[in-house]
Amino acid sequence: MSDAPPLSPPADVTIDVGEGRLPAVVYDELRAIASRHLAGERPGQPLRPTELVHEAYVRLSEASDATVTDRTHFYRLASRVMRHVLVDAARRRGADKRGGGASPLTLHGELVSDEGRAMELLELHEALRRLGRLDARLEQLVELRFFTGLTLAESAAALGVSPRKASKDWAAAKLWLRRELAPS
Amino acid sequence: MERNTFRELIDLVGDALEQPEASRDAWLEQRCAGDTELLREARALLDLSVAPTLHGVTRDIEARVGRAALDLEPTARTPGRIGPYVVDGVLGEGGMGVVYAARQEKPLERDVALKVVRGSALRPRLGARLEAEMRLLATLDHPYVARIYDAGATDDGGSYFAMERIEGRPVTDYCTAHELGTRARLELFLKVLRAVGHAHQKAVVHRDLKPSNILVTEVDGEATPKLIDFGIALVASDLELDRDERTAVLGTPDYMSPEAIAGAEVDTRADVYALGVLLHELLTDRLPSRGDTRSGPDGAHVSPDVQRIPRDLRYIVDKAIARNPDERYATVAQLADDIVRYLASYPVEARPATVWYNLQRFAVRNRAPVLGLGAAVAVLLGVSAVFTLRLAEQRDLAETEAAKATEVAEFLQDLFRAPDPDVPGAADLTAREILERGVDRVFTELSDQPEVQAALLGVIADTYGGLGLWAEAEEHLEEAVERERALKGPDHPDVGVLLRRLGQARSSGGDFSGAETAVRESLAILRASLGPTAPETGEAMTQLALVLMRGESRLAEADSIGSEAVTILRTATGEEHEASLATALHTLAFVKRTRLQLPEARALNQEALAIRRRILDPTHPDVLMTASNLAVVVEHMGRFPEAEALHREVLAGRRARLGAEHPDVLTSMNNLASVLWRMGRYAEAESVFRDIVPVARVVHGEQHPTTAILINNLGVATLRAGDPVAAQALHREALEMNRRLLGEEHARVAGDLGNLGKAVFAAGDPPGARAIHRQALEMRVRLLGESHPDVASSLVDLAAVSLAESDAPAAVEQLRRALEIRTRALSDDSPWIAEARHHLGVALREAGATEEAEGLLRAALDVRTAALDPGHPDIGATRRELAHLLQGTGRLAEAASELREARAHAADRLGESHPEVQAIDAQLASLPTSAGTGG
Repeated sequence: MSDAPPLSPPADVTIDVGEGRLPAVVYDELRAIASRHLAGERPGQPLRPTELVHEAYVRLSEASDATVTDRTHFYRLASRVMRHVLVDAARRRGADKRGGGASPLTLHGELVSDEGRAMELLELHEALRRLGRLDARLEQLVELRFFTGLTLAESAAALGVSPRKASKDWAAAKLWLRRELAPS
Repeated sequence: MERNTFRELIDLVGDALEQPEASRDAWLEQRCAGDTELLREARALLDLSVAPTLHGVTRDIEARVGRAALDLEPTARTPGRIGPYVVDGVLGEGGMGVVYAARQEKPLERDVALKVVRGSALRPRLGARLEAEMRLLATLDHPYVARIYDAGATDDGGSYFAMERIEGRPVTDYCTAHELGTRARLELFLKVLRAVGHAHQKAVVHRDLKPSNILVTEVDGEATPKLIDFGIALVASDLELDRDERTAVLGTPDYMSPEAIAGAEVDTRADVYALGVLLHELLTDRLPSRGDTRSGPDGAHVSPDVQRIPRDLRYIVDKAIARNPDERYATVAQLADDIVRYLASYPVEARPATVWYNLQRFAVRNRAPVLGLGAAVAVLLGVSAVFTLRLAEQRDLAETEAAKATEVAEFLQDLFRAPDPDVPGAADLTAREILERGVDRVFTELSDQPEVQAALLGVIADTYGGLGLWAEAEEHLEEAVERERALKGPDHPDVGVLLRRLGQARSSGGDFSGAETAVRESLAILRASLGPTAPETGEAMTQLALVLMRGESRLAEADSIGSEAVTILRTATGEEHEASLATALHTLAFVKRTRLQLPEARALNQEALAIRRRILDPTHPDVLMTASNLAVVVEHMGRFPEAEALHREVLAGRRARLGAEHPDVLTSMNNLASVLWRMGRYAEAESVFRDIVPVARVVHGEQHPTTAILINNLGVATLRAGDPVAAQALHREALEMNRRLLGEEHARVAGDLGNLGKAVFAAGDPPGARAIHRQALEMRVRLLGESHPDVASSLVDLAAVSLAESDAPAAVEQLRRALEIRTRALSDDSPWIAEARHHLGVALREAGATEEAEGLLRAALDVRTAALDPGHPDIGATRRELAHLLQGTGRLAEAASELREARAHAADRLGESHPEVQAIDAQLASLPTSAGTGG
């Protein structure tokens, strides 16, 4: 309903990649993003996705060309990072199960997972890549919605398109994804 | 698939999803226009949207992402067993501790959510109290409340609560994810209220209501809330913690009432507060603003920037989150009542009641069945203004009047106050029944207060008027006049004012001579009692001018009286007289327009509009009505773009104020379409006409002058679109409707005849058309005189028939008369004069008077080129006729040049394959080739 994004890093936030450090506000925003989309899956008190945020944080600070110039850029970047954090973890898990050479995790603690879960995310990831090759903006839109939990209005703002346009794209893209993800 | 094609596909599918499902496929086929590949792809995607819901995709993907994210969480600290429960995993973590997904194995197997409160947070003495509390909580039994099964102590000294495990998501997330609209959100919120209300009845206060404790699941596709953690916060509130510690334990203080934050005793009204905050969030997606809740017990406030919430809802939220518990809704049920009232368009309790407000809600509720209630409301307000005015003028009566005004206000408030929406049948009361009830009460309850009785009768009468029940309005006004006469004497100004209103009611009801009698009597009383230049006298004169217009159309007298009214009211001062002046100017403009003194009408309307804009809200009905009339005047003057802009402004204002289906909105849409029509934008106009006729049949009814007009207009559009048979049927329907409503002899009936004649002519029956046009012509001469422009229209129609029957001399004679009439009535650059010249030029050409014909066609072309859009079809039509003439006199190159010009515009507007373009091509081809290529 509201046009104002609930996540609001200052418009002029700049990530100083050279020093490898993110301002605290970015860290907070990442935490909020992770918490929000985890809350969607698990009801009740939202998790504190510390590890996830930490991983995203590290990725974001390691990104060589990541100079975040404004809020919308931040969202686009954050959603991409979140996606890759998750995808990489899923790949590693898949590799573990197959007994392949696992790269060391930056996460600590024991992971409970099964290959099925890892596969379904990778499947989504691949579908999104195919979508991106056909239309990069649609891929970004889906990413913003699912990996940062932005509303349609916020996603529209982040992409610089009208909410109406975004809404139509969103509906059509979901149909396309549905077909791609359908167990055929 | 290539990128461009994919983008095209996505756009197409996005648009298609906005089409109604029933007509989607037809729409799709049309849009694809033969691109079978695209059509196939789009259909394949759209097939997926049907079942199950599209939302399933979102959930599926969210689940994939969410589960993947969850897998990154370490689970090392998950204990294997707590009390009798086997722990499967972590559901969540909050300030009070962790929530686990667990299983009970004995005595029955079930999944539970196990909330474990850290040992360090609790004091030992809580054990007994916890048990007492648990017994209370166990009495909660409501479909929207998660069951609490059990509570106990953990090995490390903490406590646990075993609850029903709910697979749902926080209510705010749910609403956002499903993109629920306001109504759906309110309905969901009402369910939450029922659950909380149930608990309150069992003396259980939740104490920690917030979105994460209100989970929404779907049961049979219906959003169903489940409240969790009932009463659990009590444990924390019993702790001897200071404020900061307590909020740390309970988590977010956003939903905590000021008294809870301050550590005071809380009761059910703390839950009301939390629900108010939640309501705010549901409506605006954000929390209400408030001062630093940690440092001071300030209440929250509805965010000042939240202007999109309807005002009633803002009042409701404000009341729920009042800082002082005594100012909040005392119970959840009362909060729920107000939401129900809001949803049913009844006055809400939270809002300070005013007569105006209650009437407004009344009007909204009855929008569909009630015709023009807005007018009744306006009239009622006018009446209160009269009371106020009297107070100032007659001090000796001041006290009675003040008491009377209050009495009237209270009575009305009571009358229009909603019957309880939950009482079966009460909501079905019609406006008329409410009024009848009111009348009964006026006579029974107020028999000892004749003053109030008389005043109320007037108000009720005006309301009847607003409902279009003119006979009842008249009856009650007559009664009111008699009572005021008896109370105050026959020459009292109040009697005069009431008589004016009686005249207004009679005139609206179609009794023009009765209206004239009443208004003249009113005028005499007011002239004698208040003086010939008193503002009230001016108002009565304005009314008289209007009555004279409506009845036998005594235009000259209406003009002179209306002008005098304007003069009188110009000298009066004060804002209320400015309003009267605006009414007088508006009325006189109407007179002038009817007399075809268009520049005067325009100036008067402009002045009225300026005043109304200054003293009224920009979307006030009166402002819009004057703007609308001004638009009609400038349209008559041929200033189409100016008219279009005004109509659009009026339409936007009316839509914003009245919604999409209000009669006035239909009127504006029609007027706009008419201007578009005159500008040659036929397709745009036709689609509007086609849309509004079915709506008008419902809103106005099957027998209504406005419905007749709209049907007529649709007929005109249908004829233009090339279907004379369907057009005939529409025109016959409009004609019969108007004959019944307005009588056999009426300008509108004549207009319907003219249009029917055109359709009959187009259907290939010139003799039938001639008979109809003659009938129309004769009626117009009788009603409007020999020299009215409508007479000219009939003559033009007859001339078309004459030409078709190769009687050029008769056509020439008819058109000369038409041109003469129009020249007298309109200025030389009017498109209507150009039309007459065009037809006369054609007739003269056919009659062999080539030279005069060419002059007329060229003059018509000049005016049309200057007055109309370059692409207007009328310009092309004149060029083609001119080309005929040029071809006939051997000037082939000139003819070709005109035709090419006409063709370019026609092809641009209609497309290459349109019959008209092909006809021009045929005409071009008929020219000897040397001319065709010579330019």
